[in-house]
Amino acid sequence: MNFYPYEEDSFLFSKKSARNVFIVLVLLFFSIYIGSERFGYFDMALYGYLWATVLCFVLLTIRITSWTLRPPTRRLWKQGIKMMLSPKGFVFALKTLYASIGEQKFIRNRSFYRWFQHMFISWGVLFSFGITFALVLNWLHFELVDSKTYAAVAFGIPLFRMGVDSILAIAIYHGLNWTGIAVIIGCSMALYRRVTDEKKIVEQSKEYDFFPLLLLIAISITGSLLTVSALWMEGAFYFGIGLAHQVTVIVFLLYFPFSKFWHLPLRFLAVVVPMYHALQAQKPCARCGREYATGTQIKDVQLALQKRHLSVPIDKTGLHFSDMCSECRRVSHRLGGYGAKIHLGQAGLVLETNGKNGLQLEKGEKG
Amino acid sequence: MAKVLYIDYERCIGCKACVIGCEECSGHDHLSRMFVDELNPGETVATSPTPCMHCVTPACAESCPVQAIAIADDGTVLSASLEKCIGCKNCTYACPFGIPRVDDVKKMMYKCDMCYDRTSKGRPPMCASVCPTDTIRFVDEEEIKYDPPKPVQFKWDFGGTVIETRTVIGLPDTETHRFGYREGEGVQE
Repeated sequence: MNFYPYEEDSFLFSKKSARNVFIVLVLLFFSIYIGSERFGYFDMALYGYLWATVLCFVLLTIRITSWTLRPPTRRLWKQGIKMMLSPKGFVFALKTLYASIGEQKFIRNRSFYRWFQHMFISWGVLFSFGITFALVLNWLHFELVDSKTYAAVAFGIPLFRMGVDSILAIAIYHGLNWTGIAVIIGCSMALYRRVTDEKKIVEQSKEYDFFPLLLLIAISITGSLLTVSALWMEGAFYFGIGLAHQVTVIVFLLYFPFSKFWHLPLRFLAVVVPMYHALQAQKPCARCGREYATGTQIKDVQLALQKRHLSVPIDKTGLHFSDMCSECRRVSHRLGGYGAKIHLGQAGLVLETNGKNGLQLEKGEKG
Repeated sequence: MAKVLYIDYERCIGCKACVIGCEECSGHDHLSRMFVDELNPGETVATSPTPCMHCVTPACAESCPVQAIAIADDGTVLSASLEKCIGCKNCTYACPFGIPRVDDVKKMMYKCDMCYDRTSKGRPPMCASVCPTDTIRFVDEEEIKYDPPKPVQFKWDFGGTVIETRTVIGLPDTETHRFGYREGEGVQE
């Protein structure tokens, strides 16, 4: 593996990270300032969570910066953003967003069981994120407007009112319990599959695949126990359970950018892919003429490989191996090994082995 | 001792046992990662199997926008991790050997992982186990690379970019046109 970024500048990562972290911190500060109505409604019980969340955002920003500096990633993001600016591309992206993140159709196509478990885990975690970040960063709070009515206020703007013991209020108070139950169901299904299918999933590891599931279950159980203690145990062990919950959540937040959970930001790039394939013109293979890819993607791949110092050109023809379809690439190597000529019908060139296990133009041919 | 795949493709008879064997590997989800290509259809019956070449610096992994393709400790280049792969197909185009495939419906890339469940425990991969002509063999890396029975390929020069592969390809003898090995057993005079 090598680590060449898209520009050869040894301080590129440091500069970009510092800039991005600064922007994120400024945005966070002002969002807290506005959300808490100039620190008027600051929830001190969530103080520990707040610092862990800020640190999580900083680490996530650094990781995303490093990720987007990789040439293939940068190229794909740029293409995606360019395509999304057109109305056709924007509609396409919205549809894909629903199919791949909302409905998670691709997982259903892999296996119904896994889709079921993943819907529970992902939506459980995403809703928990929404509730936790909104409360911890003080974007949302509840104000008692009269003795029996709460008003939900987001960023200082009153949204709606509800009775303190109405069904809606109870559903909202227990929001994290519902998401916690979903997460426990999903994670248990995932653990069961990982244990019973052990021989099929040979690449799984305790640290990468099992620990995150156990961590999510620990967070959900300790969180739910807080409700159990408050409702049915007259608050017994509340402080200890609260501390245990805080520890598990903080471990999760700091572990998030460097773990299996990192696939969550990656999935947003998947939204770009279907339109990247569908909205561009197809390109024929240089040898057999079959359309096998879009011209834009082939150029992007060649550029990414060049930035990684891993270009694979075919001699001095201006062609790369990626200008041929997969089958023609495989066959060309073998024909070269046999000492046979390789006729690139579409490009009008004839290749032969270069004696160094690569291919070259047949002697006398011009590129 | 590390073992690698050795492909002596002039022995291939095109039976595709390797393709079927690959499908049957427990971690392969009934998707074959092996290719058997006809080299000169209509002119000769020459065929060749191609598994992953397991490059030391794999172009597939380098071109992956989400870093989904990992390299195991023993150097095996694994299929893209299911939770990361976004199905963009960059790997299928970047690979100079034409190996990775992407399932458009399941949005996942799959390629030869040398039957990681077997090879990580010292057993030969399915393709080598079922090949009836010894075209595909699972052999000691040092021996096949530096003391081969016939000319072999494992360093490829693509216009100045040298890619080293763990999989070794045995080359037909185009100088004397003798089938088999350079000297010793199996040489047809």
